[in-house]
Amino acid sequence: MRLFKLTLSTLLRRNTWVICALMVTILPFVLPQISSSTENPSLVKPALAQAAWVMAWLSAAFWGYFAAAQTGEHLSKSGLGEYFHSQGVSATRQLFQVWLAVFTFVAPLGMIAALVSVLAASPANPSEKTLWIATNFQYALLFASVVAPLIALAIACASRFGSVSGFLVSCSLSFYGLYGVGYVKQLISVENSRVLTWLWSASPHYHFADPTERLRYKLGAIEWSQFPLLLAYFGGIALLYIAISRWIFRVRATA
Amino acid sequence: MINRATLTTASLAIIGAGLWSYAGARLANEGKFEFNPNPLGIKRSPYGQVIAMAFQAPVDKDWHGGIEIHDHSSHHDGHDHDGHDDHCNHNAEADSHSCHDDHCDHDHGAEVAHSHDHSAGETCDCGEDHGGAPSSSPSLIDRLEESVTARTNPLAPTEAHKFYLRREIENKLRFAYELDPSHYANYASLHLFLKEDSFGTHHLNEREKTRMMISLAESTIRYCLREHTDPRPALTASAAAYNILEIMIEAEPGTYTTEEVDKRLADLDFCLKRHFDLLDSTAKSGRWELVSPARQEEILQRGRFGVKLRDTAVTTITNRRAGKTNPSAGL
Repeated sequence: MRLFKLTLSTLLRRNTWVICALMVTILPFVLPQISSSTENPSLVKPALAQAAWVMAWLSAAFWGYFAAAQTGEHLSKSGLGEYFHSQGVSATRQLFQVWLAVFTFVAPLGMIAALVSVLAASPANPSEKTLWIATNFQYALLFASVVAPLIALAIACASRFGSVSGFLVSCSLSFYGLYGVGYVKQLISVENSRVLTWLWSASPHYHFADPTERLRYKLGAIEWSQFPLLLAYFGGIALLYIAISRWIFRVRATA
Repeated sequence: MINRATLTTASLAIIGAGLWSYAGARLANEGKFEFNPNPLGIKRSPYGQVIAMAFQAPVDKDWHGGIEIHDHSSHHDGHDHDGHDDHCNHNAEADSHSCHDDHCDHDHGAEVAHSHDHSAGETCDCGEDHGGAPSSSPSLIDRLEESVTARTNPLAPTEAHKFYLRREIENKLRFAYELDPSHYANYASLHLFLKEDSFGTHHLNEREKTRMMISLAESTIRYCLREHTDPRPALTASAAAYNILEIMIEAEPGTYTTEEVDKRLADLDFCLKRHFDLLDSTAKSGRWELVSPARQEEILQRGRFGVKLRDTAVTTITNRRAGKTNPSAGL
């Protein structure tokens, strides 16, 4: 796991993760001040929970995938990947170790958002509070299951096509899955195109992992009988993306 | 010869695609794929409410900087808000409804806090500056703003350009409404654009237009009545309930039954009662002090106006019924 330790310490020393950590821990307490909760205090908690999760998603999209892409490009261009390959570390192992290092920084963002939401924005009613904790726990898991394969994809794409491509692919897929698919559905209702319908069905519906509306309306936790199905859905996407990532990933800049 | 790594990768891809398809099909069958996109959850959120308020400025800019230009350039009477007059006349039944700012304002900010009718040739007695001669020399920023926004084109906008501007305003109003359906001006302005053909760009026939206006009003009432602390959404709900009542009053006699009209009147009463109850509790809890004085005045004025509209509607309905031999036939 030398490559894992090396990547982990490199990311740690870059210190950019501090910005994301502050975004998820501090901004949720600051942003409600620019919301209508200043006039209506009953909106402070929903505003806080929303800010925490939005910051986690934005941090993952703009920093997590960028850090992953940067690492992937550095690995293949600097000769580091080739060195480790000569030391007997296969391409698959290299991809896994680099992915694990980046994921170690990104996955806690969801956990912190859940923690902030639970500690600072839980409903007063004890039964609602239990549901609130379960909801946040579920979404921390879903957050991790969405970002994990996208990190691998960013590393792999960057190792072959450069960091800009790696970042853009994962970041675009992330926003497309969170919001874009909804607009495709709206287009289908107007166009009624088979191609669009197929595209919509085959798109990654990451909006399942976005808790903002569920938390705002206090809809309660996702039914536990349904939750494994959601994990299977994201698990399927993860396996496919891992396969694609492994296929794209390379350890040296020249073929 | 296929090596082990390739085989593993292919297997992962096949299993992943299979699992994705299976779970996706199950979720799709249960209707879980259906959702309205809401980037960053901003629509209908506490942040969306603030952005919706800020959105009134671009609407005003399009209105005053585009559509009204025609009126000023074609009628050299100095202060003839023809567009506003159209606004003002949209509620013929309610004689108290003399200015668009009272009810269907696209938010003139603090202007709304007081009633003023900018009819042709009249000067405003409200004591505020509405863009006339400045009372003191403007700051550098104001002068720079003026220089980059001043219209130098001597020609009035063409009909096509005005249509484009109206559509821009309508789109902005719809977006602002989606951000915060409980905002009084957002709802009232969108309703106005649906109702008045001279503003809206939808080209709907009367029947479809009425159906859309009622649908908009009903969803607004449902949304606003979810709020149990802020008195403002109930006021928006009362405006929506009044608009439905107004549609019924303006419809051909016999279109709506007495029971239907009474039900809408009861809805309006309920919304107004909710507003005043919440206003009381807000004052008692001290939350009223969190609202700026301009907004406080705006809320109070809109509340008074809501009651006035309600009373006018009741008078109209009573008078119509008194003139009927068979009240069950309609109004």
